[in-house]
Amino acid sequence: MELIDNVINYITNHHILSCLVRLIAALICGAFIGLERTKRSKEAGIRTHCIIACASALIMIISKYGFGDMIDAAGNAIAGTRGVDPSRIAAQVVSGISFLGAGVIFKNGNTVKGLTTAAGIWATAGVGMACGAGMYEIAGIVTLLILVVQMLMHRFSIGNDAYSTSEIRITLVDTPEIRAALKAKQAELGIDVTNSRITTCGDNTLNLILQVRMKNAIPFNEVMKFMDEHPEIKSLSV
Amino acid sequence: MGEYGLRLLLATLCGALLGAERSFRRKDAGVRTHSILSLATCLFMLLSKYAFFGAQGGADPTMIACQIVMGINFMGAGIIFRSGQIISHGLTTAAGIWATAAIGMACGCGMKLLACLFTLMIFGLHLLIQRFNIGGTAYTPREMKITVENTPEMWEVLRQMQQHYQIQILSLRCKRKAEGNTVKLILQVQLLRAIPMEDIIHLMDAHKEFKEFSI
Repeated sequence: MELIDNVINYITNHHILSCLVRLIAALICGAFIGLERTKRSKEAGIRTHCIIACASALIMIISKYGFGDMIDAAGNAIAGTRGVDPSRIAAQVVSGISFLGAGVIFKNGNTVKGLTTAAGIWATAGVGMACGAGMYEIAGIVTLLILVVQMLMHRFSIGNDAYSTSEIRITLVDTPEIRAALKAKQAELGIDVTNSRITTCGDNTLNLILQVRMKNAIPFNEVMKFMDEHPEIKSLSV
Repeated sequence: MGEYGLRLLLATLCGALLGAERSFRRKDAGVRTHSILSLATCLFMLLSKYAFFGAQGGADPTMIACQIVMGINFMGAGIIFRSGQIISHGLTTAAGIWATAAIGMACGCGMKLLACLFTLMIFGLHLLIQRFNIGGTAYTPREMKITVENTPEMWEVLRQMQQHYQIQILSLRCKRKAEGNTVKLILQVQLLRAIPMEDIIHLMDAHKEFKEFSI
């Protein structure tokens, strides 16, 4: 107990160590949030979230503690300067991080992908800032809440949240059997078509480009099996 | 500490409620996006107000909060789709994102009751408009592209389709194609319900004059 007290005293007395603890805490929180995203195979994984959290923490530390030398011993501003606002740089993190969020959003025709990841990145910057300010409990609560929201929604999916968007292209010879087979497959995999582009190209061949929403990605061997079983399909891409 | 936790939790729940409504209507931004946004905004507001005790200099407790309003833009821009001169869709959802940010800020500020009332108001608004289709705004705007042979029968087929699916045509662009007697129609429409894909395939099968159909 005394050892821990001593360690905590030492850390708080030495500013640099205190900052290090905050950065590490930001790293850990970012890692937790990023871990969940990696498990869902999203582009922004652990490292992206960690780095964002860490950098936001650093910026908060700079904003809060970096201008101590602008104030003299009596607590007044040095002549010629105006006085320090420790919240100003930190405020710009909020709008500055949005470029990263915007970069994760993919718009394709009529569909969007990556909105939740973008929101998560914004939130991760916030968590990093909280760690940088020393508000570990808040950072912990927010990290926990984010994880709960993510995991809860994968268990109990409402409406649109169960689905992820992707594009399927099929070229096939149009027969009633293949239509029935496709319909059965669609029902089996729970695929929802949001956009479709259907072109007829001579000899009863149809070219379909579909933007779909499906619950799980279609495994590769299922795709192969489907093409084997139905020779009417000329090409299939998922 | 409990107070902070309560505010964060409330923000998440309010965001989740609005998100559930959007999710149920099969819109792009669902429960998770709305609740994470609301949570993040609440966090930023808490930081804005309470994170600078013990710093040197005079902190402005509104600084971070005012950047939230700017920073939320990226989400709105990602949700709105434009197609030519018309906003294709996503406007209501984007406005909802802005409202969700406001809810998070209110919760973070401590105005919990106000945030709850506001959430219920927006939720009620959505329900009301959907249920009673006030002002005809329950439609979803889409873009349809049809390449078809230019014959009177086809126009009749199209007219029947419009009546059957209650399609409202906002704008029409008609291009004559080089081969045969085909035209390409690009329509901005509003649909009350989606057209099932098998209907489209059935249509294309029944009328070979349809070369291409995209919605």
